[in-house]
Amino acid sequence: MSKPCRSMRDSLQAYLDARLDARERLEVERHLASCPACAAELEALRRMASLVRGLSHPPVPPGFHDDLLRRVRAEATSAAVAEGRARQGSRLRRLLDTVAPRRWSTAARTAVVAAAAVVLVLWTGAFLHYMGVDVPGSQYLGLAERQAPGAGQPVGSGVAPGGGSVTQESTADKAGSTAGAPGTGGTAVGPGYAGTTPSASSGTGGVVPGRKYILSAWLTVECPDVDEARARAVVVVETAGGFVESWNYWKDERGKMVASLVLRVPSSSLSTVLEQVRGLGRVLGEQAYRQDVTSQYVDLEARVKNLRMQEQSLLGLLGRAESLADIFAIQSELARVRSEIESSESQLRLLAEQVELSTINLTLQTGGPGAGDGLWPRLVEAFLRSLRWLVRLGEGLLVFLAGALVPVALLAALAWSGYRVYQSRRRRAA
Amino acid sequence: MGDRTQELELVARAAAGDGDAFGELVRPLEDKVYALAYRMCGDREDAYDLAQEALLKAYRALPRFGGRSSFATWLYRIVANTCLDRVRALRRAGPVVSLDNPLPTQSGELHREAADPTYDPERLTLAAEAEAEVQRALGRLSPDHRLVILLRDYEDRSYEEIAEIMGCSLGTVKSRLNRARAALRARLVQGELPSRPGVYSVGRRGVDA
Repeated sequence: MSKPCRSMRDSLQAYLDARLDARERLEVERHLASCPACAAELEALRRMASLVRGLSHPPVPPGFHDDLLRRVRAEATSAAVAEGRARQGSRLRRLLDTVAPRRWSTAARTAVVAAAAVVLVLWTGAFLHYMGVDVPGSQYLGLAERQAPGAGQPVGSGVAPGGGSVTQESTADKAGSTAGAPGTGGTAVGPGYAGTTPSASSGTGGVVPGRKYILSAWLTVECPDVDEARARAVVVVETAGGFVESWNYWKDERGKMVASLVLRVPSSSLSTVLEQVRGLGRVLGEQAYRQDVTSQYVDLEARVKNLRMQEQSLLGLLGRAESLADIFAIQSELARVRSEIESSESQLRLLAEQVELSTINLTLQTGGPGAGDGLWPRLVEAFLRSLRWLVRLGEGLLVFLAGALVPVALLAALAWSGYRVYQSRRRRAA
Repeated sequence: MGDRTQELELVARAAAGDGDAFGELVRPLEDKVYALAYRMCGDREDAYDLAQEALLKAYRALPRFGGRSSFATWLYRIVANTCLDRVRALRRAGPVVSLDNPLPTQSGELHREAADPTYDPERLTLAAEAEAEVQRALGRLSPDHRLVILLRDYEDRSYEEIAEIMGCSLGTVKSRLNRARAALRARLVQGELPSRPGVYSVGRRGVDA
């Protein structure tokens, strides 16, 4: 016997359940007359339906109604007490049912709830980390190296001092936690440094009279208008007798305007200039650094003195030279000494100039869209920030999952097989 | 309609904690509820507990009865869900040895029939074997399939009623019924379709309806 027509399957059921109008019924009947397979199929369906229909309807056992009434009455007395609790419970259950509908299997529901719990825990941990709380294991999520957005934005890194790995000190951090210092013989000093520099040490710019220091400061300031702040900084520096050594401008990846300036000011007026520069906006980070170059300076001075003496004695020898060969030899030696004098003196001049003029590496940047202004812009900024942070968290999580894939898969396989063994044992026991 | 207002009045009283009003509401439906529960789980004791639990649940949920559907349909919805939950739980706990299932012995199957004075013994002996067969086949269907077949063929409900009771669309009812019938047929064929004439009643509503 051939198989019933696939296209007729729905029609046969509708026919059986009397859900067709007269025209459709006629169509089906016409088909049935010409298709024995479909006719047989309908017959089988009808027979089966009548089998189920023919099942007896057992009446309720005696006492069923009284039993129910008894329970209902018992319920009614305790209902008032239980109501509050039940409502709470059912609310929680309803939430659970929304997350993982009841029609799913227990395994699926458990998995969904477990996944939700894991996400919640990770999210909470990451959020705490974001808020600056030390969360164990956060480094595995790739979050540790990222600066918490709550503190200063790491924008100033573009103008890191020549020394290299100096992290800019953020005002939110504890002072003195940054230890990296460029060069040798240097002393990193806290933000309070500039204020303690005696402005009286004119010319030499040292803390201890007679000693030579090179002073540098790094400053990151957030201001609403970078252009205007830059212009004001230039005015401040020039009135203090300094100059702008270099500056550049760019837009960072978040669309913020950033200007980086290298300012040179007489060391005597460094503290006043810094004070004024700080007034340009909100200080996000500041670092000052003092390099003691006294020994270098003294060495160079002694060397120049020495060379000068050599020059004098060579000149004296030249006046007394007798042979032409002697004259040539003395003159070439004199030229060498003089070039050395020149190089040493220029080093000395450079050093003196560095001591004389302090360097301010100033970074100016706009805040977020109107940060620090109204409530709304701050809300928007905070929202966007947390969104960015969430994206980063997602990336970190992805990386973490990729790394954890193999062990997790192994564990899952193990757990699954264990569950199967347990199930089959139970089934055998039953 | 008088019936409707009377029903709503009873509902209101029952919702306020009047147990007798609730009893009056459900008494005419108890037979149907019990029968469905029995056919869903295939065991008298389980059916008793199940029916009690479902009705009690309905009593608790009564304050949430909005009156959009009839009380019977609303109640049936709760009964159906309770049955599905219970049957699923039973399935996970492993097969239940029911007193109603035949006891396999060396000389064939022995049926344990509890004495039931309300049964017509003539009809019982005629249908017992076929019934047991069909019940067994039903028991091997998924709970959803079992329910949809019982609602349609055992209780003779319309697609619309089934959709309301099962909380799904008409299309879902259609396709679920289709699959359920195919599954039941496969189970019945596996267990040898009981084909003795006279065992089944002739369709009350079928082609000619």
